[in-house]
Amino acid sequence: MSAAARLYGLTLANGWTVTRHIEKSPNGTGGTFSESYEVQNGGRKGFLKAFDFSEAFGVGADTVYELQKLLDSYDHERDILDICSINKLSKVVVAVDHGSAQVPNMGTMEGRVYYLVFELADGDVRVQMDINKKFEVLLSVKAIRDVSLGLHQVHKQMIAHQDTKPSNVLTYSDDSFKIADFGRSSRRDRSARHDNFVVAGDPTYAPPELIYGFTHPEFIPRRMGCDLYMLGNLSGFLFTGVNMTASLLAKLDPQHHPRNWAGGYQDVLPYLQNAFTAVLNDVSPLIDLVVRDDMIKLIGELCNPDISFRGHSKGIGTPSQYSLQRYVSYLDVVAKRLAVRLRADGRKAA
Amino acid sequence: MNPAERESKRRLVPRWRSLATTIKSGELASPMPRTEVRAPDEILPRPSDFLHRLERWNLSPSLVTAAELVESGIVEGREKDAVDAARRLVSIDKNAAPLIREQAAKLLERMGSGRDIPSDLKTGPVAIKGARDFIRVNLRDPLGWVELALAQTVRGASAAAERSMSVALKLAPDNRHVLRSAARLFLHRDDPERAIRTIGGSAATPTDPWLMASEIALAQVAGKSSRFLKRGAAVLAAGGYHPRQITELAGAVGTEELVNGNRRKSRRWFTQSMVDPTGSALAQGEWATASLGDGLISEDQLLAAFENEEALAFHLFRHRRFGAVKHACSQWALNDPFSVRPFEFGTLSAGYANDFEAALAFARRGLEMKPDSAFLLNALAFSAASLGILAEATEAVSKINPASTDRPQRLVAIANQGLIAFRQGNEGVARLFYAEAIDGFRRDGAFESVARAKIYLAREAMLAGTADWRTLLKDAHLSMAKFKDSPAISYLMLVEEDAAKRAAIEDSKRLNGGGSSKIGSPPFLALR
Repeated sequence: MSAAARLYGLTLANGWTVTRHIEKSPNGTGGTFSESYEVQNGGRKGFLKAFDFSEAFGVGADTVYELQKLLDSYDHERDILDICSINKLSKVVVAVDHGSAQVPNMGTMEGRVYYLVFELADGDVRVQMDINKKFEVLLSVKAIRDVSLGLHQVHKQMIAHQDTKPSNVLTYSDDSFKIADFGRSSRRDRSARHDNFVVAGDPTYAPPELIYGFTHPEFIPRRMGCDLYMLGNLSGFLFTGVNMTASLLAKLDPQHHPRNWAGGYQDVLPYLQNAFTAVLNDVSPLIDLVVRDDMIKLIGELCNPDISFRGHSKGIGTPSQYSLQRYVSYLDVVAKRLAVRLRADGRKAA
Repeated sequence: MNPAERESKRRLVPRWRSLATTIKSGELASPMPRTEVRAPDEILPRPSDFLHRLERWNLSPSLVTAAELVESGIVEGREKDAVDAARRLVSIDKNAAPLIREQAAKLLERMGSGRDIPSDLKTGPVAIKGARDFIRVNLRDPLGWVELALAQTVRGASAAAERSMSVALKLAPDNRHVLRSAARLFLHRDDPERAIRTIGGSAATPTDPWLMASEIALAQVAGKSSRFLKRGAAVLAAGGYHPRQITELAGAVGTEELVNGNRRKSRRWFTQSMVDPTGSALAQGEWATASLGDGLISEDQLLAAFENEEALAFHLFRHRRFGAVKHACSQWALNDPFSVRPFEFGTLSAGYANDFEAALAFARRGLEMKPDSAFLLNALAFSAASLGILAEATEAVSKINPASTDRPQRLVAIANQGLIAFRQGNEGVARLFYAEAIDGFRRDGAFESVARAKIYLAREAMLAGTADWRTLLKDAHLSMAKFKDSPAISYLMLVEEDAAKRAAIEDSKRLNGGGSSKIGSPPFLALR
């Protein structure tokens, strides 16, 4: 068992006590993992992410190189979170603490665990997969609004999140939502090791161009375009419980699936566009009528398989094509309009 | 008079049918040759999230871990490993969101585990959206626009179809399906030059065997030299493509060689084409068989190939089994909804089989698609008049515009005016029309058509009970004797069988003292 997996029950230097082991997750650098815990410090609860460095000590591993890689990963996420914290980004889950701990009965190097502590959320939006637990339409729209705001906030810092999937959208008791986990994020003008990967985040939710191996040479279309897609993907998920990437690829004939396609991305795009139309037609009836047109337009624009068509229709081809500003304003209006309508409907029913 | 067979100049022009059928035919695979399936690690050069999800599913099976594993399996092409999770979603987690369960059910279907899908998730008849409604949510979908153009063409709105196709061409100017469909539409609109320009002008054509095949076939239709014939032959000679990917290219090059009289080369290319043919390539092979001899196509291929109906229709026609052709044509029309050819071929064959109800139905359906087709108008006039529906027959003939109709069809139309006149009881006028048609064919050197016109003249004379019908039939027989391979031989036999029956009746009447004419034996046996 790695050091990162042995933190349960320990009290860390800053007073955090590790109260529950949650799970092991793949980390941003590929080949590395982290362990998740619940922690407590007095009456304050938190979520601890412990970086698993055990791979660096494996048989045949180049320990110095591997350690450097893992520390880079830790530093990268911590630095990004510092930027978010300094800039008081309201819709981003920022680290409330960080540090390192020594696991008892392990060597100084092998037993050293680096960690980040975050505010503890009530849960994530994966409840939408269950028809008995899924939340109301207004809350879904608020989630999309909050996440688009969170992404817009980090985009203004020239950071692309690249892993906006349901498990990274956390819910809070005041009906607000925040975006978490910057382990796979990228910053313009500052490289991270995972920048070399075609798909930086979780491929199951990634935009199709990356899964087919097409990477735009510029930071904004490639990485912020990825965030736009994942925001659209999340929007579809909030109403249907399924993600657009899997739905899209399931609609393709096997000969056009990334595993079998030998041509370029431009060559397969027409088939993806047609599959995308089919997905939108499947999704549409599952969205509440009150927001259906708004949401189908949003998903259609954000998830378009052609990166040159992705983004708000008014911004296509302009320097602001990949900006979320228009969506933030638009979703705010949609959410307010919906809230008013639901209140009015409630009064009528009463 | 049944119009002449049009398939003597069949070319391998692209077929245009639904996207789903086209994909199923294997025409839309990667444009580049490939030999191996790509490993997932090639696409995702990092440790797989799939394995992590598999581990989580194994450790704690739940709705969430199952749904995530199914989605990951679909994306990473590892659906087989997600079958158990999919089973759980369809059978245990009934509270899963409907699309999650649907997705799991479809995965099970693809993996051959359809029996595990509960009845509430079995795919029943799905209400298919209209093409226009379908693309309303994504106007950037070029193939959706092609589907709309197809629907518009089928219902006869060709101008609207051209507009839809223009959008598709703008969105995907180098896509094989868009280009081939557009070319076929332009050909349907009698603009082969535009069809050639569309295919020939695409940047994809020089490296795409399907597009090269289309360009070569379209050039043949337009009577032009192909820009890609040499390159196409070189691609075939070099090898490297899966046989299905070059079946139409080999067929198109083989057709060119056959037309130019190079039978040996032609046979070589057709043999290559028949290794793994599409339905259209198979039909081309069947067409070439008439010139190259049997042995190109095996019976197994003919019966088992996907979209084999056209080839089957040709095969049955070639063996003069006209009664069976109409069934193949009905199937062919279902699979090739845009094409007017199943209706042309169907009406022609049914006419030869004396099945005028079927011939009329085929002609009517074909004319819905191509209202100004002289061939179909003639076929309709012939079958309707043969059934005594003279108003419809007269109207059809009147719609044939001499200015835009080729001479053979004009002459057939004149013969059909003769047929209508016979049925109206105007024998004198009828004979004049037939004489004009026969004379016209003779002057054009179309002696097989002369013989066919004579058969129909004799038939009408016999039905009208004219004094000279036996002479006319004998004359037709003598003319037809030079064309033993003509499909009209079979029709002559039918007429002669009818003549024999009439002769027998008249004989019996005469023996009973009812008649006095001397009846000669019908000559049909001489041709059998």
